[in-house]
Parts: sequence; C-alpha cells; structure tokens
Amino acid sequence: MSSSQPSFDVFVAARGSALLRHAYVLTGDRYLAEDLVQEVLAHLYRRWDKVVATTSPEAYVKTSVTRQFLSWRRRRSYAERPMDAVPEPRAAQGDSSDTFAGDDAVWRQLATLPRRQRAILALRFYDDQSDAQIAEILGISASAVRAQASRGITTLREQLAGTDVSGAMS
Amino acid sequence: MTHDLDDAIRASLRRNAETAPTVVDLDGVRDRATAIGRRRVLDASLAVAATVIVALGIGVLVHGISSNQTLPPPVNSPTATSGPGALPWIAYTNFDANAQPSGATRIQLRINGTDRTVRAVPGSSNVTVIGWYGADHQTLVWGEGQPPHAEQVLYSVTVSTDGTTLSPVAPLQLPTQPLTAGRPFVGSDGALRFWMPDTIGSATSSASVVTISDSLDGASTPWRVGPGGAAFVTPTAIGRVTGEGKLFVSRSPSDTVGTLVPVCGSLRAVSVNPDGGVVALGCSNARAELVDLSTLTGTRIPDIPEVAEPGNLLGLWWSPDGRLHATTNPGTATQLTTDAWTLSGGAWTPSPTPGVVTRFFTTGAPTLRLERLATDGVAADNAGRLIVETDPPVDLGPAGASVAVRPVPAPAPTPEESVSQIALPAPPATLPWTVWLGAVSTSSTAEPSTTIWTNAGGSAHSVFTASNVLVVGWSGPDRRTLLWLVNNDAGNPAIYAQPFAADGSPVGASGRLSVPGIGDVAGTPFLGDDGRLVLVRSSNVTSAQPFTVIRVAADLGSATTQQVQAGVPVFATPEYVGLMTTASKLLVVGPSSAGTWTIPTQCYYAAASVSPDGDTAAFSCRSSEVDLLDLATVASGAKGGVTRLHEPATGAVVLATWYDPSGGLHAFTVPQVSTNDPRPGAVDVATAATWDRDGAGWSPSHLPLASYRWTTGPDTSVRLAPVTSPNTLTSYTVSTDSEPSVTITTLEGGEQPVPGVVAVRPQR
Repeated sequence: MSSSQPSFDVFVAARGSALLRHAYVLTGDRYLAEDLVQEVLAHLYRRWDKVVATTSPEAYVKTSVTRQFLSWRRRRSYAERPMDAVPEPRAAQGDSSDTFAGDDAVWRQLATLPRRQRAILALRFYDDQSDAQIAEILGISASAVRAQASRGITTLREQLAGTDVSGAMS
Repeated sequence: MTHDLDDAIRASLRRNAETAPTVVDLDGVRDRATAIGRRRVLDASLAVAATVIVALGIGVLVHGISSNQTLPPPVNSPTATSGPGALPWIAYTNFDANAQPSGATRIQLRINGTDRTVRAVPGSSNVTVIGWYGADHQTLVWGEGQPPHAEQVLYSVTVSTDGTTLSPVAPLQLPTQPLTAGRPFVGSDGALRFWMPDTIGSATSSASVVTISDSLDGASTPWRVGPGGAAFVTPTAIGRVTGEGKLFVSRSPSDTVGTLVPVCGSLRAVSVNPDGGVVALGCSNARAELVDLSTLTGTRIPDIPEVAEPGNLLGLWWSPDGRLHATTNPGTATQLTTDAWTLSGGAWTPSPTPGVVTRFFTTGAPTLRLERLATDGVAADNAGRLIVETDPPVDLGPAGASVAVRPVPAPAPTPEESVSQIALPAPPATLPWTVWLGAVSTSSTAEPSTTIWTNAGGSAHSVFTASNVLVVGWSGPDRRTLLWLVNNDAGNPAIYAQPFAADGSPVGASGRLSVPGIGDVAGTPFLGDDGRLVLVRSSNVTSAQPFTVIRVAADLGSATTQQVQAGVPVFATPEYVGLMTTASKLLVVGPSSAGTWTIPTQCYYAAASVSPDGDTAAFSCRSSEVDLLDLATVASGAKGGVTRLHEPATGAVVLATWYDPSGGLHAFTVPQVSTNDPRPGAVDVATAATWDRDGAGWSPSHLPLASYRWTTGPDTSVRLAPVTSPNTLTSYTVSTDSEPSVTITTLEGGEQPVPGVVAVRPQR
C-alpha cells in the first residue's frame, strides 16, 4: 500500500473537489457527499495500484461513486433526522435573491426523485455524459437510461408547474 | 418548456455544485481504510473456530446421491499454540494431472503459508479430507477409495504443535472398534460418523454406523441399519436408500429397518440443515421437498430450476442462516457449466455469482467461504479453484473435492466483571422472535434488494424482499405482527405487515397495513415501547402543506388522524409529535395544543428519545448537550419546560440517547474529531463511551452490555435502542464498516450473525 500512497494522495488533492461536486449533485446533501466519497476512496485505497492502471482513474472513481450511491441503502436512520430538507423557504433565511427561487425549486425537486433518475439527470446535465456513457456507468441499457430520464423530467415538470424556472438559467 | 427545463436543471446542478464541500478528509479516508483492513484481520482471527468438511456435489455425484455434510460447531482448543492472528492449518486435495502414469490426487497441507504434500494417491481417486481431530486437533483424518465404490478407508497423520513435523501416514485404527471401509459423515455436532456396509461395494448391503470420538480413541456401539446405500447420517437419524430407490429413516439404534419416507422421485441430492432437524431431498425430475426428521413429514418446495431434462441436479446445501441452495447443470454436455440457486421467498432465485459453485460456512461471527469456480468444468478434479476467505484469502488453486480447516482457539476474553457481579436472569427456553435484514444481490439493472428474515417459528426464514426496506418492529395483538416499511424515495414510506400465530407460523400473506377508514397507511413510523404505531405522513403536493399524524391502535384495527404543521418528524408518541420546522425550531404538537421550542443553536441532525411514560423527550443534536423536554409544558405553548443536562465530558459529542424500561436515561458519545464528525458510518467504536444520567449530569455507565443494544441500520449508520429482551441477548458485536454486521451472543452460548437491522419481539 505504501507504494501507492503518493499517487493516491496526489489524486485526491487534485481531483477530490471534483469528486465531491459529483457526489453532491448525486446526493443533494453535503454530508452524504463527503461520506460517499470517503467511503469509496477508503475501499479503493487498498487497491489503488489497480485503479491507476485503468485508462482513466478519475472516471473509474466517479463510476464507483455513482454505483455506490445507487447501491447505498438508505443512510438516514429513523433515529436521526437530517435537516437538509427543512421545509423553510430560503428567502426566509435572508436570501433576498428572487432570481434563484426557480433554481432552488429545481434543486429541491431533484432531491425528491428516485435515486436512479436523479443520478441519470446528474450525469446527463452536470457531467454532460451521453446516454450510452450513462448506460455503461450504470450497467443498464441506453433505452433504460432514456426511459428513466424521461420519467424524471416528466416528474419535475409536473412538480414545477407554475414555477418560473427561467431565472435558474441566468 | 422542455429545453427551458433542461437548461434549468443544468444550471441548478452546476450552481449548487459550487457549494459542495471542497476538501476530502484524507486522514478520514485512511482511517476508514484501516478500519476496513482491521475488521478483516479480526474476522480472520475469529474465523476459525471450526472444522469444515466440504464434499462438493460434483465429485460425490459420481457415486450416486450427492450428500452434503453439515458444518461442525466451533471447537476451542485451549492448549493449541496457534495465536489468534495466525492462519489456520488447512488441508485440501489437489489433483496433479501431470503425475505419471495417470495423474494423482494429492493431500496437501498449508501451514503457516507453506504447502506440503502428505500423500499422493494415484489416479483420480475418491479422496476426501474430513477434518482435524485428536489432541489439540492436530491429527488430520481423510478417506481414500477407488471408484466406482463410494466406500473409503480412513487414514490419519498427526502434525507437531509447531506444524513442522508429521507422523507416518497410516490407516486410522481405533482400539475399541475395527474400521473397515465406509462413508464418512460430519454432522452438526462436529462428530465423525462412519457408515460401514457389511459388503463393500454393494449398494444393497446392511451396514453399521459408528460415531468416532474426537480424540480418536474409540467409537460408539454400532448402529445397525438395513440394506441400502447411505443417504444421510445425523446425531439422531440415519437415512438409507434401498435398491428400489425407497428412503428409510431410522431414529434409534434399535430401529434397524426404519420408517419409509416418500420421496420426490429418483433421489439425486440430500442435505441436512444446520441443526440436523430437516433434510432436503432433490430428485432428478426437478422436484424437491423438505422432510422434518422429528415427524418424518415432507413438504414439497418449488421445483429446482434447470433440473428437468436435460438438466442435472449437482447438489443441495444449507447455509448457516437456514437458506437452502442448489447447484445445477443446465445441460448434458460433457462440459460442465454450473448454476447456483437459492430458495428465497418461496422461489428459487439465481445465486449472486452465477456459474460459481459456492458454499458458505459460518462459525460465529466470521464467514468462511469456499468457492469452486467451475469455469471449464471438464473434470471434477481440476475444474475451478477453492478459495478460503480469510484475510488474506487463501487461494488453494485448482483443487479437488474437499478442504478441512483446523480449529484455532479464539483468545479467551478477559471478563471485566465477574459473573457474581452481574446477576443474569435465567435464559429463556427459546430465542425471542428476532428479525433482521439481509442483502440480496440482483442483476445490475435492478435496484439492490433486501430480504427481511425472522426466526419466528424456530428456524430462519424470509418474510419479504424488496428494495429500500426497513424494519419497524413488532406490534399488534400480543406483539405478533411484524411491521416494516418500503421506502420509495420520493413519497411516504409504505407500511407492510405480516401477522404470526403463537407458534411463529405466518398467518396469511404479508401485505400493506390497512386500517379501517384510512386504507393502506404510509408515513414515517414511530413504534412505541408498548407497540403502538404512530405515523407522520407528509404531503406529496408541496412541502408547505400540513402533515398528517396517524395514530394506530395497539391492535392495528383502528386509527385516528390529526393535521399538523409541516416539518421533519423527530419523535412521535401516541400523545405528542415533535417536528423540526426550521433548523432552530422544534414544534411539539399535543392532543389539543402545540408549542414551539427555539433551540439555542442551529440543528441539522436532530435525534430524540422518549421516556417510557411518554412525558419527556431527550433531545440531542450532534453536540455535547442533551435537553430534556417536558412535553406537556412545551406543547401547551408555555415558556420553559426544557432542562439542559451538563456535558458528559469535555469534547464528547452525544450521538444518541435512550431510556431503559425503568426510566433511566443513557447516552452514547464519541469524540469530536472534526466539524463533520461524527457521522453515520464514521464512528470509532473503540473511542465511544456510554453514560448514565446522574442528576443534572452524567456518570460513566457501568451497565452490563446486555442493558442496551447497538443496531446498524440497513446502511452503515449506528443506532442505539433499548434492548427489548435483555434477559436473552448478552452481547452484540457491531461493525460500522461498509458491510455492516451484527453478531448476537445468547445466554445459551450460541452466536447468531445478523447482517443488518435487528428487531427483537418483546418477551411476555
């Protein structure tokens, strides 16, 4: 393990924030994103030599993060209530920017989608992956990717009916 | 709108991604990696309190019925010298195809990482290593025979304590019992039993069955059985198959003939379950059944996949959790391809590793898994590999049909308190009904599934399988209805129920919990100590819509509803509901009024436990503070009603609190290592502490372990909850790794590994 440690450290230092962003758009939760990345890296740490031998270590790790996210059984116990979803409008906390109201609505509604749909939309719109690439990452068919994506977008459209989302694009 | 929405999603994701954490905690990653490795080492040190004998179905099938020999129980050897960190001695067979003139089957030893050949038997002989016996389990016993006869002659060799010197190989001889040739069986009690037909090579000969002592210095009085071949041998029953294919079961040494038991057809595989009470029979027509050896009644189970012509049944076996598995060959080609199946939820499902013949043997906490990869399958002797999963895994290479692992003593624990200091009540006659979760691997295109298991009725069996399942607990009349939820991510969890009769048998099929006047109920569940269920159901329309509290009667036959302000439910009792409406406000809703408590600090991870009388909630939020809320006062809207306890210790972070049945409050703390810790899955159990409420503060807990229990969620989060039957369960071992596991030790001395959430039905 010692021989792989410098490589591992350098990789995490260079690409750690990108991994965290990737995990964050998947989970919608800062703490879960940190936990998810840490868990995946902890497992890969023990066989880092094999990871760096792949064509793209970063793609390998991101795929691992995505798959781990999908296979993660629910992390929120019923003894603890993570409060990220406190039903409190951001404006009430002093955020005066109405511009982002629609944007926040999209983000909040994304968090309500089933995980697979959320992951597919994140990979498509955040990572700009093609349906074929997403299919490979998730180990499903491209048609399944399209179907899930369509379902997720339809749900979002219904949930956001009447909400002005144009501000989100600014 | 479509493109607008696409662009909005893209913009939202990218804008919010900029607010993601930016630094990976490298030390945390390393600590976690170390913990993973440490756990594997720990498993390895424990993984060995057993002797395992494996006779793979393919090899035995050559001789007729595939009979699986069950796992011996753990054996401690107090004077053995191998330390807990040492790898066990492993004996296995390996076919050497290059040996002249026609190959040889070698009996190999792997001791301290060094391989040594004990003996080479010419040809593809019928050779099986059986186990380690004698003083300190240093004598290896194996059987040798020549096809087509199934009978073997037993041989032995004794290894010196340091593992370097071997005694001469010799046929096993006992001073009190002559041993001829026969078939060895190792039962659930670990004893070696030897079936010796009166006429060697005859499948219709009568026979004598003896139990050989562990010390190899004697044998029991022979148990005589009538004409036929050996089907199975257990400590209390012997099965033989006559030339006409009829199965007779004898249950006492005086019963030579036995009782005729109808079988499913032409018998191809037999396997006795881990407790020796049930035998599974598989037939060439794909039919299968379970025979209860106490009553000799059979129960047909679903047909074994692929076995109807032209497929073959290669073997049946049980894993320690009581699940039945089958290995099949889908075709009749000489190239053997094998599939593995597991009987789950009333149907055979493909093994998580199709194409791999896998058997699991668990002894206490660790798992010893032997895999035989039938990738080419040309011949039984050189197909695939045997892998003993210790740390590191022991790859035995292309191997033959059997392996035996010598028991290594587990280190004797140093008791912290003498038995006289902890007055444990008498153990109950049976284990309470316990329910746990087990992961089910599925194809990559499906969500991972979870199976709910229970031991209600005396043996482990599955109740329900779905993705995103959590156990709620035992409710209903006499607490005999198991409740669980299925989470659909976006909406309210759906609540399911399975009632059980007093004898533990399921009553009807499981299904959604339906309450008159409401229908199928859903929501975040809270199950009180008295078994009453309260659900908090959010609106699926918008988060600002009111929530609904559903209070279900103890008999699950009726319910009342109440509209409450939207929030994140933290606790709920039949009287009071606590909801976080903002990060600093806890709304407590009572039967006729509601009040808000403003928490001094922002709270993002609220947790609460409610006293047994339902009057007080202990509220914590990942800090050193615990606030006691007088629920009636807070819910009335009056000022006050909150008492803050002193910190347990400097820097300690309260992760959970719980009340014991007498109203004592306890807390579980971990050191605060960073602003993000402690988080679920990141708890260092070694540095955790438990506390008892002591007036306005806390004192270190001296409670025996039995006074509380850990559970891991279906995820890696750690939870604490009161033990519902402390007189039964004495200790729990919990891993907070990515592969959570719980091991329960009972007062009866047994150990039960449980791979997930545990809910124990309260004992009356």
